[in-house]
Order: sequence, then C-alpha cells, then structure tokens
Amino acid sequence: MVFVGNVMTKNKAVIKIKNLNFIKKDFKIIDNVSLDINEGEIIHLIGPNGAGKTSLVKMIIGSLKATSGEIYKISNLKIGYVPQKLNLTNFLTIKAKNFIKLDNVKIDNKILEILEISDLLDKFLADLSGGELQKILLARSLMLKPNLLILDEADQNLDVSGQADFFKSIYKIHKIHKISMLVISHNLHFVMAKANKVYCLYHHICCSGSAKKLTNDPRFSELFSNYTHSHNK
Amino acid sequence: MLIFEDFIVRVFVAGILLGIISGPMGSLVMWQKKAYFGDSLAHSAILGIAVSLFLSFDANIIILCILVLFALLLFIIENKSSIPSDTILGVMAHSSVGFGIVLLSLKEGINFDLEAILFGDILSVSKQDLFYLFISSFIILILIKIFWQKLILISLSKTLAQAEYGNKVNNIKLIFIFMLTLFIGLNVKIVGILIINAMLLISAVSAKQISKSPLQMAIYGSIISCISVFFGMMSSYYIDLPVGASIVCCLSLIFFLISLGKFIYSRFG
Repeated sequence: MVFVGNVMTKNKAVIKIKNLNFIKKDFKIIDNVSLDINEGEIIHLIGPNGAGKTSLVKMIIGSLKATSGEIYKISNLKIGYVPQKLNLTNFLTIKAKNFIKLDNVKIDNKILEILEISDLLDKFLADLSGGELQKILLARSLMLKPNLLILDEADQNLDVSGQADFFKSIYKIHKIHKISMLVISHNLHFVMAKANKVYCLYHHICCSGSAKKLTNDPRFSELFSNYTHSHNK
Repeated sequence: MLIFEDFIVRVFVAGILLGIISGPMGSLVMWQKKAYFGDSLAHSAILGIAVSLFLSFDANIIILCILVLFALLLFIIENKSSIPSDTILGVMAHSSVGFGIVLLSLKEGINFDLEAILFGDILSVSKQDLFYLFISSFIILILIKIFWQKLILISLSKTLAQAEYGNKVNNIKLIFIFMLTLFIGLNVKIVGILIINAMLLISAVSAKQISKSPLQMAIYGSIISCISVFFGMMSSYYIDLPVGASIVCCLSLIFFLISLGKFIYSRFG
C-alpha cells in the first residue's frame, strides 16, 4: 500500500518504508524491509545479485505492487531516476540535448557545468562513453528538480576510473543541491569509502549503519564473503 | 464531395494518407519492438473479414472491433502471463487465420477474393473507406502529437518512464496499441494482411539510415512511404501489376538504394 502525505518521523523523511514484503511464486523477494530516506540524506543500498534491490526500487517508483507493507511518501515527492542503461540499439538515433529536452525538460546550464558535460549536448547518445551517458542521465533527472534521486546501479557498466568519476559527480551534486538520494550499487569499494548510511539487502535488511560500522559487522562480512565465494565457484 | 467520385482520386488520397501515417507509426513500432505484434494484428484481420462477410456487415467496423478485442487480449496476456509474448502472438494470429478461413467455408454463397485479403485491393477504396481513413488518420496524428515524446522515453527506458510518469506508462502503451490497431484495422483492406507490416517496417528502417533524430526518422519514413505508394500505384495502373506487391517492391528498392548509397558514402565519401 502506498500512502501519500506527511511522513511522521523524527527527521523529515521524504519516504518511509514499513514492513514491506514482495512474494513471487512462493519466494520472498523482499522480506519485511523497513527503511527511511530523510531529506537531504544519501542512502546507499548494497547487496548481491538477486537480493531484491531492483524490486525494492520498482516498488518505490510504483511500477511493482508490494504483497504487503506500506510505503509513505511526502505529497510533493518527485522522483528522479538514473537507470543502468538505455535501450539504444533499437534504431533510435537521438542527440544528448534532445534526450534531455524530452517531455519539455528545460536544460539547466549550471548542472551541465557541475557535471562537466556541456560539450556533450550535440553528440548522439549512442556515441557517448558509458560514463558520459550516465552523466547525461544524471543531468536529465536533476533537471526535473526531484526531491529524491534514485541511482539504480548506475555505475554498473563503467570502468574503474568511470566509476570514480561518477561517484565524484554524485557527491558534488549532493553537496550543492542537498537532494535526498538512494544509491544502489554493487561497488563496495566506492560505497564503503564514502558512505554515511548503508543498508545491506539480501531479501531482508541484513545490517545497516555507517560504512565504518559495517566493515566491522560480521553479518556484512558473511554476506559479501559468501557472495564472492559463490561467484568464484 | 464531387472530387472523390473519381476512383483514381480516392485511391491516391487513400495511398497518401497511408504513407503519411506509416512514417511515425513505423518508427514507433520499431522503437517499441512491436513488429511481430503488428504482424499478428494484421493476421487476425482475416477473422474480422470473415465475420463481416458472414454477417454481411460493414467490414471496416467488424475488423476494427475484432482487432481491438485481439489487441486488448494480447496486452493483458502479455502483462500477466508467464508464456513468452511472441509465442502468445503466434498462437493468437494463427488461431485467427484458422477460425477466419473455417468461418468463410461454413457459409455457402460467400464470394471472397483471398488474393485481395492477402495482398490488398487499393483500387476498391470506396467513399466510405476513405471517410474512415480520414477520421482514423486524424485521430492517430493527434495521438502521435500528444504522446510522441513520452513514447520515445518509454522506448529508451521503461523504468525511467515509470519513475517520471508513474502508472500512466501502461496507459500510454495501451494508447499506442490502440493507434496501431486503428492503423492496421482500417488499412489492412487496402494493402493486405501480408503487406501492411512491410509498409511500417521497411519505410522506418530506410528512414533510420538517413535520419539524425526521431522526428526526422518519422518524416523521412512518411516521405519514403508516399513515394512508394505513388510509384506502386502508377506501376499497377500502367503495367497492370498487383498494387500491394508493387508498393512493397518500391519500398524495398528505396531501402536497397539508401543502403547502397550509405555504404558508398562511408567507404569513399
């Protein structure tokens, strides 16, 4: 159930998730997840493949219906979303500036300058590098003036330097705009280096806290050592 | 209107309307990956034609009703069923053809031209057909104008569109299905079941090669379709070739010439 209105929390939350469950074919993909995203806060959500991260995001966006539980949203909530990638192979030729302007979005030169992408506007999306494309996606979602920005494994297809540059841009944007962010990532290296609030998801919230606190949490070590182990197999 | 008393005027107006709409619709069909959906809809028109002959009722209305039902059913099953959508499309398209042919054979005294159903008969366009074409083309163009940018965003990323439009995404997709149904339902009699999808796809693929934006692709697609319709009809009129097939040959020729030109330009330009 999604509720829109005032979200009653100590801090001013833009979104409050309470006891959320999502069951598909008798399998609990999301198991009793509760979390708040407060105004101006960056939340990092990490977890292995198949942990339910995308399902959780889809429920926040509203494209997937939860089996049970509640999502409280502030009434003026506007979500900006940065996906992993775009479907650029299906014969759609479009320039970066025309993509940004889709559906009457006005180009904000300040955002372009912050992200250092002003010179990319006349390029075709298909000709951009992974990092450049992600910055264009980030720029467009920011130009929609959201109060919650969701980055759904947006660093997935980037190389190490691209990831570093992308995370740098995210923090830069956050410092200037003080926007609430939900950053979903596989990238433990970058998340654990900077994050203040991290949630580890493996169908349920295994552990949460600051990056520093989590590195000493045995549940965190267990989750990610198993994950590495199964991948190595 | 007196001008539409002349059959050749009706034929050309119908052809040009078909060409104009083919450009944007073909582009959207490609971006939305609905080529097989369009093909299946066209096949299901056989059932519509059979029912209209069986009941001796206006073919345009019956075909449209059958296609709307078919499209709605497909849309619902696609979203709810675990069976792959191309399999569902195949099942429904071939079932429609089967039931349509059986229905036609059940009633004695029905005269139908299978060749006209498969390959179309633009020369038989009546004033009433033209009226339906005008109305449907107008509705489709208005809907394209309203939903063009949203449909492009949905084509690029459904989840991104869902984040921006919320639950409206499914409604927009349904509106697109309605546009496609309207286009196929009222044009299938003219260009035929086997050819209507070619009108959409070949013009869009050809336009893609020379366009630099979604809008350009739609406009070039319309121009290519109109040229093909014109030359297809001329060749049919003067050399007595089947119209639908002639239009597709013209489309294919344009596609080949554009591809060749592009290859030469990229190699030596």
